[in-house]
Order: sequence, then C-alpha cells, then structure tokens
Amino acid sequence: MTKEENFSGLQVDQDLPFQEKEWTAERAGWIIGLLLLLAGLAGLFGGGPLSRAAPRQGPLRLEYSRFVRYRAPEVLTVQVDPGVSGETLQLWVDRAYLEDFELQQIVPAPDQTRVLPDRILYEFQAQPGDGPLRVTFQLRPQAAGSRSGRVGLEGGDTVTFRQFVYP
Amino acid sequence: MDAILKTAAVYVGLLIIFRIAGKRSLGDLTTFDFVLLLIIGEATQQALLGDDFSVTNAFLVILTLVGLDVAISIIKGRSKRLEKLIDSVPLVILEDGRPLKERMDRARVDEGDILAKARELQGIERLDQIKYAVLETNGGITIIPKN
Repeated sequence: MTKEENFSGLQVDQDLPFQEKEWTAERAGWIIGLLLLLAGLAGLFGGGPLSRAAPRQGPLRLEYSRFVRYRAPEVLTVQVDPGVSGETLQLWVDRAYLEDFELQQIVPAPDQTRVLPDRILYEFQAQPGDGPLRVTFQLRPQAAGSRSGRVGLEGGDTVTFRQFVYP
Repeated sequence: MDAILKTAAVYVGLLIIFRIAGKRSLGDLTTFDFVLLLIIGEATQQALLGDDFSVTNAFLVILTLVGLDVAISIIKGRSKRLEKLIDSVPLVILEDGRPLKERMDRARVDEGDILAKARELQGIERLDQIKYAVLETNGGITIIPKN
C-alpha cells in the first residue's frame, strides 16, 4: 500500500500508516478477546472447571470456587464424614472471612451458633446412622480482591482456602 | 466514589471493545444490530447501577459519563494523535469507479455496501459513476459522484 496518496480535489484526512497500525491492533484485539472468552469458558472468571476446587483434610471436605465475582451469589459446601465427633458436630468458619462474604443462609440451619473472637462456631445435632453431613453456606462477596478463609472442626482438622473476587 | 470509578472503568472498557470491533461494526444499523445494542446497554446498566437504585447514584453515573465525554472531546480538539486513536481516520475505498479491493477487505466493506450507499445518497446506478467513496470514522460510507 502506498504511504500517502493525493486525491484531486478531495480534502480528506486520510492517514494510511495509522490505518495500517489500527488494523494490526484490531486483529490483536480480536485474538485477545478470543483468549478472554476461552478463559471465561474454562472458568478463569468464575464458574468453570478452572474455578472449582475440592480440598480434603481428614474427615473434612470443602467445595468452593477459586474465582468468584463481587456481589454474585456463591456457594461454599462443607462435607463431614459420619462418626467424627459423636452427637454434636461443631463446625467453625473464620470470622474475618464471613465479614467479607456476606452470609445469606446456611443449609441445613445449625442448631446453635456461637460467636468466638476469631471464628463463628456452628453446632449440628447428628443422629447415629446418619450419612455424611453436608452443610451449604450461601454467600455474597462484599469486597473485591484476593481473600483467604478457614473452615474447621472444633478441636480437629482445618482447611485453609483462597478465593479471588473479581470486581 | 465507587459509582464514579465503576462508571469510568465501564466507559473505558466499552471504548476499547468498540474500537477493536472496528468502525464498520455498528456503522449502518441493521435491525439486529439495534437489538444487540439494546442488550449491550442492558448488560452495562446492571453493572453500573448494581442494586443501588438511589437518585444520587444515578446522577453520579450520568455526570461521570457526560463528563468523560466532554473531557475526551476537549482532548481530541487539542491532540490530533489522540483524536485518531479514539475516533480512527477516514479511508478512501473507491477512486474513479475503481474499488480499492485490499483496503475494502481489511475494512470489511464490499461493493454492495458502496452501491447501496450510492443509491441511497445520490441515486447512482453503477460504480463507474462514482468518483470517490470514503469510509468515514463513524463507520458510514460517503459518496462523491462524477460530474
């Protein structure tokens, strides 16, 4: 393509070198957009295989998302193997974590809640012969950025996890 | 504070996305383009307002958008380079009845687009009656007929 042209009588502010660069940038932008879409499908921005995580520590199994979004409903599931702590199961969650992730609901609802200085303790009555107890925490992140949380059994195992909240 | 920063981020993000999409993408709106535009607006609006339905928030968002628009138009007036960066440049795509094929391909315009615009604007029947066709920065095509 010629660098500059002269059109008789046509006063047009054409800039071919710039146009050339623009087209290159445009194509690069398409590729970046495509990569972002693929990353989104894989779950880099939440809700996909890259995002799901299920660490296990002793009888404790946690299911959470590594990537969540600001103020979007989010679920954290804790599963405890049966026969761990007799009749009352005491599960606690880091208090600082719950301050950043507004707790909407716990299913099943705990029989008792106790507030300790650094954590909140939830007590569930377990019937003998019950299967594993699955507790679901429905949350809504209230702050963006990287956040870490801890979940544990009173006097037992602890799982630490990290989540990134997109703005 | 939150609302203003969020709005500025959305403004810049949309500017980049539509700049990358090219000037033709929403140049001459088809019915479907129009529907798409509405959906894009709806998706943006949710992110901008969230669940804050206060009048204060709405005015902050509007003020930010209008303010950015004014600021950018002032900057464009002062710097030619920034104007090109934000608005792109016009491009001659047809000269003396002869379409400049390579450019048209890269700008995603075909002869049909030029002919349609020529009929619409000048009542022109054939390409050889056109002296120049220019793809303008707003994505539209303008036609200069031969005398």
